Amino acid sequence: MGKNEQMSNRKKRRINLWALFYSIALTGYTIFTLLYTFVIPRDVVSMSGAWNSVNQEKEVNHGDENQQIAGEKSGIEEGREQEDTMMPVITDNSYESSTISIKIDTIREYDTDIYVADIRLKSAQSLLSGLAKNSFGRNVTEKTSEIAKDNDAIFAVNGDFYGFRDEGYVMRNGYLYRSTKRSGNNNEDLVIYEDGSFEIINESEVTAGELEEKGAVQIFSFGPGLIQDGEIIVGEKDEVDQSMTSNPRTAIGMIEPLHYIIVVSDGRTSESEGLTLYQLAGLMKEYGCTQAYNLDGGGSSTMWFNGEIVNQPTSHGKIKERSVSDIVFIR
Amino acid sequence: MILYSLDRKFSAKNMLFVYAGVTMFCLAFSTIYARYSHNVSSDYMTYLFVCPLLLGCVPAFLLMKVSEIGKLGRISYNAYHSGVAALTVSSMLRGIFEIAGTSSEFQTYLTYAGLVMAGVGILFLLLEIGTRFMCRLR
Repeated sequence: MGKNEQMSNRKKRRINLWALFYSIALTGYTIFTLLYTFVIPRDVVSMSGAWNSVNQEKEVNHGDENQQIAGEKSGIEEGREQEDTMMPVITDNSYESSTISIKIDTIREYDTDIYVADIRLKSAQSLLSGLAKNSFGRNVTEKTSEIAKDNDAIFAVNGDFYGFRDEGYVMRNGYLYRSTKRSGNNNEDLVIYEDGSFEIINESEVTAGELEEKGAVQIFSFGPGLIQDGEIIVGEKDEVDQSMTSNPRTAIGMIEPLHYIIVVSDGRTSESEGLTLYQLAGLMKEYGCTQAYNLDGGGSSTMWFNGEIVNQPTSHGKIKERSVSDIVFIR
Repeated sequence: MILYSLDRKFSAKNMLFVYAGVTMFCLAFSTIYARYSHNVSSDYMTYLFVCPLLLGCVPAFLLMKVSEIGKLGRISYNAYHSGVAALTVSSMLRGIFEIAGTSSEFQTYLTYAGLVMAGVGILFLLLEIGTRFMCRLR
């Protein structure tokens, strides 16, 4: 074998080695990035721990005053418990107790099956949110029905799927988990206050800390807002990110504090086309909502009532419930 | 005329064939992905094929047309192609994340790495050509 030929072979081997090494490295990096973004749970905070720390903090801050409030609250709780002991009347599509009234109607509009829950509460404390596996964190997911059962819920819908993103305010049941503002234009949040009232805010205009001081107990960061002060605020062509079509949807609206409308629509099936955001906003307005907000939709859209899934959730082209980060529920 | 790099296998003609294949693959991948993304789109996915087309096929085609400038160094060759590969994969990842409604800092790092590698490749190529040109002048 000549010297030149040997050199050429050696060089060729070096090239092949580099190509092999680089291909493996790039493939590995791609797989890692996909797993890190979609699968690997991280930044996990236990919700029960968070609740404890919030309660302890409140106890320390308020001292004697807190004891008095706690006494009053325990009185309220006792009252609620006594009221709750009255047997609720439950049917396939309704729940009626002395503190909670839920009525679910199925309507058909825009070639789509739409499930509308009319909810009246005695106390804002009945409107709660639950986290998958009772923990806050990226890629921590569980099915809506499972989270609902874990929380002894009567009624539940999927939340904002906060765990799919690293930005956007996240407050659940009074505890602020994330105060990072979202970048970009679409950064409207739904804020639920202690008295059960709703407000649609823009993250670029107010900090999560300021909302906490104002008495926020829940902040959802998906959007966009559908209705604000009785007016539709979403345009006919507005959509979530690049989506330009009808989809399964989940929306929550307030007629007045303690009187809410929650809508879930089917979509992506031969029976149901789905709704555009503008159609969804129009529907919420028809029901008299003064504030309404779009929660996570698509495959996440799930309505659960009294142990059963009400709608037809789609996941990967099949009628199947998808795992999500969080839910909104009534208890 | 064919421009040789290190080996006949890595001629500009072969480079054109390889990048044409990658371009077709990207076009097919983005088309199939669009079918299952419920009409959610991302420019990074829709125009995924542009990366190998502009950074691979076009340079290869141009190299085939220019006169022979001799063998090219391994660093410039490997760095440039590695950079184009990183940018193509990064575009694909960005498209997937945008369609899903999320993002990842690791995709951004890959873009920077791709730009640096492709930049280094081009820089070394220009240096080599410049050196040879100077040598010829002497």
